[in-house]
Amino acid sequence: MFDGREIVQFPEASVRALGDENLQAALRLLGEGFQARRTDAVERFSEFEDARDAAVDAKTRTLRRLHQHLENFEARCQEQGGVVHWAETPADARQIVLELLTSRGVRVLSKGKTMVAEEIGLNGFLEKHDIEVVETDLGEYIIQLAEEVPSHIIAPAIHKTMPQVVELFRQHHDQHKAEPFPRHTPADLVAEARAVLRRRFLEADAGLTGANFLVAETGSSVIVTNEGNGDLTQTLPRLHIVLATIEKVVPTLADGAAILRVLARSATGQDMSAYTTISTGPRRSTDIDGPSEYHVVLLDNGRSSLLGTPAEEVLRCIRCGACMNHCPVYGAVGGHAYGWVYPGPIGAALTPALLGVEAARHLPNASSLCGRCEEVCPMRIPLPKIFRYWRAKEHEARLNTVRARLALALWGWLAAHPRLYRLGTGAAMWILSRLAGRSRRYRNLVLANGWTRSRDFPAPAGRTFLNSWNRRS
Amino acid sequence: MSAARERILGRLRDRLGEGSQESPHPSAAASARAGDVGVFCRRLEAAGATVERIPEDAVPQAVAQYLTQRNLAARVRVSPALAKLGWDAEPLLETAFGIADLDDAAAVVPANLGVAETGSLVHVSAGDNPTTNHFLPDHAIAVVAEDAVCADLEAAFSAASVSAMPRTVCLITGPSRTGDIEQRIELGAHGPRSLHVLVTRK
Ligand code: SF4
Repeated sequence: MFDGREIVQFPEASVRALGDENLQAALRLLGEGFQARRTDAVERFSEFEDARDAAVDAKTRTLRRLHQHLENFEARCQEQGGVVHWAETPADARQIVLELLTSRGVRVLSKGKTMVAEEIGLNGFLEKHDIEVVETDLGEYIIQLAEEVPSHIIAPAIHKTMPQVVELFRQHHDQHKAEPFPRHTPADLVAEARAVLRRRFLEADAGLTGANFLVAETGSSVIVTNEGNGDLTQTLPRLHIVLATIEKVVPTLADGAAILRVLARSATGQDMSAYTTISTGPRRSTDIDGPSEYHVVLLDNGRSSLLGTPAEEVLRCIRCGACMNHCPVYGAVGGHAYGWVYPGPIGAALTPALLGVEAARHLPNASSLCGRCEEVCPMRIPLPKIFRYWRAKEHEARLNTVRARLALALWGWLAAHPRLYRLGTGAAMWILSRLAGRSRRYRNLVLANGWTRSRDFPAPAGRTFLNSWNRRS
Repeated sequence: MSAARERILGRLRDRLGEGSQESPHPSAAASARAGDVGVFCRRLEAAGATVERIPEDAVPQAVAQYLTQRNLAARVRVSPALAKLGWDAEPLLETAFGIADLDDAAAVVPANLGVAETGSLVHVSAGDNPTTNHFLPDHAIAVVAEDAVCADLEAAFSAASVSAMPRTVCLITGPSRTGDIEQRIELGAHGPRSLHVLVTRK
């Protein structure tokens, strides 16, 4: 449906996910893992709320004058010997990357973690053109071996359990080894991947990374990582390609600092990630290492059209992953159920903008609007508000079911007639309370069997809130 | 100029209005405020590094001792910027200068600055300070002068880019790590498994 990648529909995929034992085991670790670490990091840092304000301010200022910052970025980058390419669509971006690689005879491309490459379906495209892509981030490497896609924006293989990784490594690494690697602990597996990927970094003719942000005043790209693979990817090969979307630019390094103060804390619960690297242009005449060419591909893919709409605030996103780590829906079904590149709350807010409301219409509905995502989002993106915006769009385009539209129409009509509304709800509460019997719960309820299929429906108290309130005064 | 460029910028201009250029405060205006060395060392340790405070001329000796303690071979790659630290004082320590390769288990690298706020080392690439040496070897031993410790990220960024932006400015905060297997933190993913920092005084 979109660039050759069919989007799996949420309702069916989520049911499958709930029955997948490996996935459920992996997701159970979210509480003591990502969530607990973020909570600790925020508690350690008393200025966290101020830091959030500063980061939001940096990004808001950027978006107000995005074209100017992009032009400045381009000018500074080129002054330093870099080359900037502009791509409107995923197909344009893929073509630009392919031409850069083929015109220089590149056979092997090493890759740091980049969600934008997923967004444009880069790996499959390059492989079709006989370019070998080597994922070097451990999580990306694991899912490349498994021939899967990421299920989380910062922990792509979070859905895999250790025994599954052991099995993958056994399948892929053992044929060339007389003696298999020891595989008793996570540390063993990390060491194994390190040993296997070491040479690959040096074999690659080109390295491709994403960018956590771009800096207009210096023409630089910045990556924030923990493994060190991104740095090897952008240092060792002779060609470095940066793939970034247009909203990633910030005006100054100081604005970058504001984002750094909230990024790692929100993402992994570190005060600072292990490596924050600012790259500017190719190697200088006196340098003895570094790529001899530095290219930045700036992709729009629908971002520019979001500005000025109620969904524009998603452009502040710094892809920290906090919203999905804390989302009860993501925690129950994992990332693949969302069917496309960006899972969780940010996916539900962004995917309709990138793929269209029709293709992604289930995602904004895959939320109870509990608001936990907005609470933890370092960039204060009002995610639930954006879900409601997409739901309204879905309704306008008549994409939801006839039943849902009828129910909403009835509800709308009732809400506009307060007396009838009170009468109707009052009567319903009274009847439901009387019919409930001794157990005070319903095992089966017409019109609510979506609920009663998996749990009992508690009987109402017999009065509506308004009834009680009126009696009280 | 490409047509895609014109169309993207055109759409942005339509939506945002031409408006006046907002002149951002250039980062270079931030003052290079000095940072607290004690705080810097504590944060480094919190990030998983080990720290030693020593006189500047004791670096070769400290390196030799560290390798012995860790049961590593007495052989290091030394970034050319540190070639003049008096390595002859340690005749049993084998040193090679230049770019690290896959056979180097340990490297001694300079850090141009420290950042007290985050416990980060700042590596600024240069002809005598190749980036490779900070990432390829298993064990990194970094040397940073205590008077090069800045207060915060802004101060470090402005100090690192005084004349012009070098090719690479890298903030290194602890050893390499990953949480990609069952969310458990393991050190030594692709960069160094250990980071030992020698904070030197004149
Ligand atoms: S929406 Fe907010 S919490 Fe979610 S990834 Fe983006 S910045 Fe992080």
